[in-house]
Amino acid sequence: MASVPTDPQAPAAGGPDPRRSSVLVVLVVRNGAAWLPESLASVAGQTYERLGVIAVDCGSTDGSVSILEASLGEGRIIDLPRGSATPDAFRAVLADERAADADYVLILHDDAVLAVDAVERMVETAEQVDITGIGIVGAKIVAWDDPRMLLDVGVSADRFGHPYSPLESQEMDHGQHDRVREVFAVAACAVLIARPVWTRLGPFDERLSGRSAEVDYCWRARIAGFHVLWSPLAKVQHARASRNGLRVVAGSGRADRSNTPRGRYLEEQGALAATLKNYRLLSLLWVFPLAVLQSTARWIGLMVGRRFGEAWQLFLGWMWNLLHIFGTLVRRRRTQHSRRARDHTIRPYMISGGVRVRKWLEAFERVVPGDVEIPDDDAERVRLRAATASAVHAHPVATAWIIALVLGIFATRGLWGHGQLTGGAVPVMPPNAGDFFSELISGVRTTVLGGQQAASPALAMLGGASWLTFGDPAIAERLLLALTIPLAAISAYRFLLRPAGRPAPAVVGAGIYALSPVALWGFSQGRLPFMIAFAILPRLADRIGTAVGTVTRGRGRFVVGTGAFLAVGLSFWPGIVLPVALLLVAYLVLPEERRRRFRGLTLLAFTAVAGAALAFPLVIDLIRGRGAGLRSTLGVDAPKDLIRLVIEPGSWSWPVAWFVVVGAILGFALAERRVAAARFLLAGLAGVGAAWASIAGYLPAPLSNAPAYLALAALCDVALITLGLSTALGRIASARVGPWKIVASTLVIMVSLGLTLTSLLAAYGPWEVGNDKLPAAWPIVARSNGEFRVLWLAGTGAVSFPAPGGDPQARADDGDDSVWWGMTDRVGASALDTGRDEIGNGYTFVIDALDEARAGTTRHLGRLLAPAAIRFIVLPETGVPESLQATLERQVDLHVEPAGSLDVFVNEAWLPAAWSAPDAGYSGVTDPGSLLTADVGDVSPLTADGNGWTGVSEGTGQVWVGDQWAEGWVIEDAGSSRAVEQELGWGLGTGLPAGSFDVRYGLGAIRAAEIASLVLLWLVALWVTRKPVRR
Amino acid sequence: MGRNRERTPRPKKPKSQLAIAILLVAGIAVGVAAVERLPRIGAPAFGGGGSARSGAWFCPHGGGKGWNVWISVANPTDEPVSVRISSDTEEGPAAEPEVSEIPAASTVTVRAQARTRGSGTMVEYFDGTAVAGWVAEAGKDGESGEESGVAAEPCTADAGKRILLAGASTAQQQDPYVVIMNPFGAPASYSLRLFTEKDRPVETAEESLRPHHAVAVRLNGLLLGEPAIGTEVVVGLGRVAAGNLDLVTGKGGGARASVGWLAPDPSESSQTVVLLGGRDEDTSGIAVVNPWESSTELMARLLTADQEQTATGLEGVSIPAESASTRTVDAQSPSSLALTSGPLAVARRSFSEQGDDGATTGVLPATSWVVLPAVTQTGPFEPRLVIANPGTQPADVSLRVLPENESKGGLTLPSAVVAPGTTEAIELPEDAVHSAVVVTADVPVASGIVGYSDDGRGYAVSAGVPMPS
Repeated sequence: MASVPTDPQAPAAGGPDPRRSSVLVVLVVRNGAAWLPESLASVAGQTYERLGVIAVDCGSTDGSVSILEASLGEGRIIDLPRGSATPDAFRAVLADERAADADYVLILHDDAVLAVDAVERMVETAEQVDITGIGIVGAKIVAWDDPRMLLDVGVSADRFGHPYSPLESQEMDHGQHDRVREVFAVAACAVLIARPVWTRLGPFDERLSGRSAEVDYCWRARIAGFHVLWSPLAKVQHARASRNGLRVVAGSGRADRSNTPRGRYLEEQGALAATLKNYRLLSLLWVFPLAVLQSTARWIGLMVGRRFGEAWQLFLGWMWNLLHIFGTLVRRRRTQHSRRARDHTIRPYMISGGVRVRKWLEAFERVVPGDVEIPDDDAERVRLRAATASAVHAHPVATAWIIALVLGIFATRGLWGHGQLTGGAVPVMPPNAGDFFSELISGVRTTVLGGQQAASPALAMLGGASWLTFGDPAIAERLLLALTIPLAAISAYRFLLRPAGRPAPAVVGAGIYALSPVALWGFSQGRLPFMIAFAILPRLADRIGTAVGTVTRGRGRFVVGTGAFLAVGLSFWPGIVLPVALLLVAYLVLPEERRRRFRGLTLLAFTAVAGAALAFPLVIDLIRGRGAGLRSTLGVDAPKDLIRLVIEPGSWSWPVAWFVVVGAILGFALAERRVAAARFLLAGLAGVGAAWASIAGYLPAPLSNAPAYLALAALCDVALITLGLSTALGRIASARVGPWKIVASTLVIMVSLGLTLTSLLAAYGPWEVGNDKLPAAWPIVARSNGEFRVLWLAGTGAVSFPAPGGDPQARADDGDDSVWWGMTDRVGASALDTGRDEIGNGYTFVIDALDEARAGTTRHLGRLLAPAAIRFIVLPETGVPESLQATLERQVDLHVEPAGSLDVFVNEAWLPAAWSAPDAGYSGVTDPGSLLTADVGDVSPLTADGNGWTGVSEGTGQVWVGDQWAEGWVIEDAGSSRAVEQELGWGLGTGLPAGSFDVRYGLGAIRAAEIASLVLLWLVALWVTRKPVRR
Repeated sequence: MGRNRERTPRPKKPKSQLAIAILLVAGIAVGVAAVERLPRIGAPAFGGGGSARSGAWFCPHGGGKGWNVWISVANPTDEPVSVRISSDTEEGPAAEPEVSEIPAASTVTVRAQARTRGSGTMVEYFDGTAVAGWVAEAGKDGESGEESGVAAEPCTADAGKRILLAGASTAQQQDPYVVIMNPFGAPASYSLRLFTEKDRPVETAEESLRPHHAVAVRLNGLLLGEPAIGTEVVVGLGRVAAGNLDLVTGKGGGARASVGWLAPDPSESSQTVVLLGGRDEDTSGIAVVNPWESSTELMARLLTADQEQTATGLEGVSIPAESASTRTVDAQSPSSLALTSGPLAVARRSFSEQGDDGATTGVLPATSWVVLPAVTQTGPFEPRLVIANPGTQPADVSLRVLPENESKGGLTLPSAVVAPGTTEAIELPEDAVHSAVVVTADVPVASGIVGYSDDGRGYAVSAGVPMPS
């Protein structure tokens, strides 16, 4: 055991120089028996003479106290209760009379070993550097078991008090930091503190611990006018025993982790407390709101990333500050009382904006690949490349992220503005975030023709996003749409990284996927549901690969996690299951390992069940509608266009779009991983074929979805390109000139050019959505009063209706006179209908009415459409069959409003969606003929109140609600309630009671229970798939 | 690095994959070509409809102070039909629409509001079939005392964007009007193109016509002294229905009416229209308008009571492009005129320019007609049913009267045979003068009605209406 000097005033052999300052080493001990002997020895071996030691034991149970007693004697040990930490130890020492004579206190942790001259160098730094007022000196901290590895070279902090180390992970010491520097804070495992500091500031804030306490104390020292220096000359080895969970609780044999899992809590607690204490009031006025915003954003990020543990810690950190606000204010007064320096003089030692951006990018680069495991040899290759190649090669993800950011700013410049996003096929958002939740829990559908169809769980996500964007769904829509492209890229990158084996080709592949004609089409038209599904598809593809591949750790978590992804995709765009199924078939036909197929299939079957459970109200409706909700009517009947992933013509269908499919063929030719290449080729070709078969009518309606299949084709194309690039980039330089090199060079050049030109196109921003992109004629509809619906018709040459009509609902065939048709509310296609189709007899009624007019036997289509509250029939100006136009023009009760860009037929026989009339109304009407003569008379509109309708009657006549009937509708008056009957085979009609009455849906509790169950299921799923707390 | 290079496998021989890729490109090209030739499979077709039956008739009858206008609505079916009758004037809707039910196989006559020159009536029918026509009696009790005569025409089902009218004259003692009605809920605008015998068409400025309004454009104010004026009503906004109302001033006056045609497609092949006959002996004026950009040649046959004759004065006449012309035809007996032109011209036959006489536009032959009354409710009159057979086969014709205000299934008249190339005039029994008659033949014929008055003050010719399908 080393003999340790215990009294800084006591003369050592040869005698200390009394002119030199005395240093009191405060050895903070907590279950550190494993390191303590060496630590004590290092203190004993110091070259500095005027040195004393006092040990503070924080409740050790592992024999540390015995070691201390043997080295220092009982009198130099202060015992503190278990759970005490450095601040408590410092406070205890300062209260001890032996500290009164010391010029400096050196706080030293029990798992730190001082170099022999460490104290000497620190004192030199404190006294001989040409700066007055040096208060705190830190040392170069290196790893205990590898002194070449740097652990601390001084600490900075952001504006909100969060510590920041300039060191890279596992950064080696090449002397790159070796100069005495002023820093914001230093590590407390070995820190020298001058007497004026503690006499003015007192001890550490005992409420804080770890790095937060260090940062706070150094910050306060700077406020008080002291300098904080870091000296590379003083070297300390540190085991980071607490952080690494190495301390062992005696008797239990388990690690003492009393602090480690609470890292984010401690950081957040300390950062906010330091912010509140240390800023001047004026600074605090702008810093604190920003801190709130930043923390909220981080909390959301953690929740979205399913890091619930960390989110909880962050929340607790804020709660702690709330509960301890008075203590913080008391300490703030003391801190501000000691102030000698203004905030702006301290700010240079905080991290700059540039560093913060870099930090985010690095974090992004860490997060994006997620749990994708690259084979070891490839990982090695990546490291070597990273070490030797350019910054772009070293950080392809960060580079791509920066490029994407710049590109995104240019590309989305036309999307930002006031009010709703309009044009294309962008769904119309409701005015309030709460409308999403109201629809979600509503027992009946409140849009178009109503009915019992449940709302999609996607509405909860849209509502949540709207709530986060200050309750404005329009902002949420813009943000979500803008995020879909980068999300698709990230998702594709994670999918492609495994087959590529290296980041660069995966980054390129992800870029192509995110800028493929399919993506640009979806983005340009503001197809938010499709784009979300498009972004999720690579994740699901990755999971399929995992299920039938080699990695299946945590099967329960895998099933639930994949099911959650599937449920999200289903909720937004049910058609996503079609490409997923097709890809699964490809994986089963061409698996990596044949023997894992059955297990993978079983796993995915459970996944499908989990996904269905997490979207169950929607899945029930899909089944009830016999899969009609999976279908899409979109796509042009042009095989050449489909091959190059063009769903409908637009700026994205320019000739450059060929580079994706040509690149895929070249990629296939080059790919070393032949099975994977063959699989993606098979799936890609099947995708294009299925897309064409959907449009040409060769597939049953539930399986017809050209955009879905083309999304799969896009993914497979980029996978082939990535495989080809992965091979080509590795060997192109060393390959001999020949066919291989020509093909590889062609691929690289073509992909580079194609991606660049497509990026420029995207930056140009030729989007169909934007601000004020509604047709000039639309105000005819929009400015009309009352609650009405719109019937949209178009020739089959069209793909979608003019904005805001959304997509066609179905096609009615009549040879060359075939038409697309669809129905919307007065606002157009609503985001409340995300993920759900229009099914029910009410829609059949409407198309039957149109059929009557087309047959030429009636000239009163308006009357026939009146029960469905259709006030306008909107057609695009071109492409409408002449017979349809003539049919509508023949109608006596329809007239065309003069307007450009649209043909708007106004129904003069329109009636509101819900009304009462003193006449017989539609009672007894059984066929379209008798509907024409129905005695409707003067109707009084009912008032919608969110839960149904209210009205007043004189006791005779009928009430009519043009919503699809469902079991549970009742009419209530003052004293009674009775069921509403079904009229016209689909709507709600019943006799009128006298006085005021309400029409209500009485079975709303069932839907509420369903949604509650769904919420519960999601909570369980999120808990099962939560991510562990990062250390 | 060296170790890493050792571990890197040598590139595999790429030839097979390259070959597959080349084959793939070829396969895709062949595949695209193949699928483009494959037939497309349609979605579910429209069901066919046809269970809802409704329609509308537009009656641009015009009017004036002291005028009486009667609208006859006939229900030729065995089920009652619901109708709604609404009249519009230059001042707007004349009254609330009148809703009534027409019993099965009967005729109902109602009085229409016609206090202004621009007046029109719309008859809508629901869940059944009905046919409408009008009889207008000019200013019999009017204050001016200068207007008299009776005009009758079937209402038209056509309202649209381009309407052709033939046969007006602005010669001395002629006061023709174009009556335009907009019975719809949206405003309309129109302009007129007036075709004459010599000059290029005259175009008027576009005028607006409010919803549920009618207007009468006096042609004397636009072109004076023209013996033949054809009119094209060109509609900018909305839709209208239009007709001619010709008043004769002096010598007791007179009134003629004819409804407009929706302009047919000029590419339509030539068709034969029948201009039905009137008096026993007559010199009738045949007004033809050719609105197209090429001339049209006429072929005309006179279908007399006995035989078919060539209509001298019309046969082989060429009507220049964008012009109107009036020719005269002499007949010794009740006779109709079968007029063939190509491209299709619009023709009207008028029977006298002095005193009250009648006018009618040509009709296309059909096998079933509903002929509406052409006499006023104030009588006495002698109506005659006219049936012309322009074909080459004799026509067996059955007649069924749709009695006024009854629903007893109709009164059947003796059947008749109309020889090919002839016209038959059948006197109606007294109790059927205000009833519509259903004329059914086994070959296409044309049918109409002529109304005479004993005192010579009222004479009207009205074509029938082909039975709606």
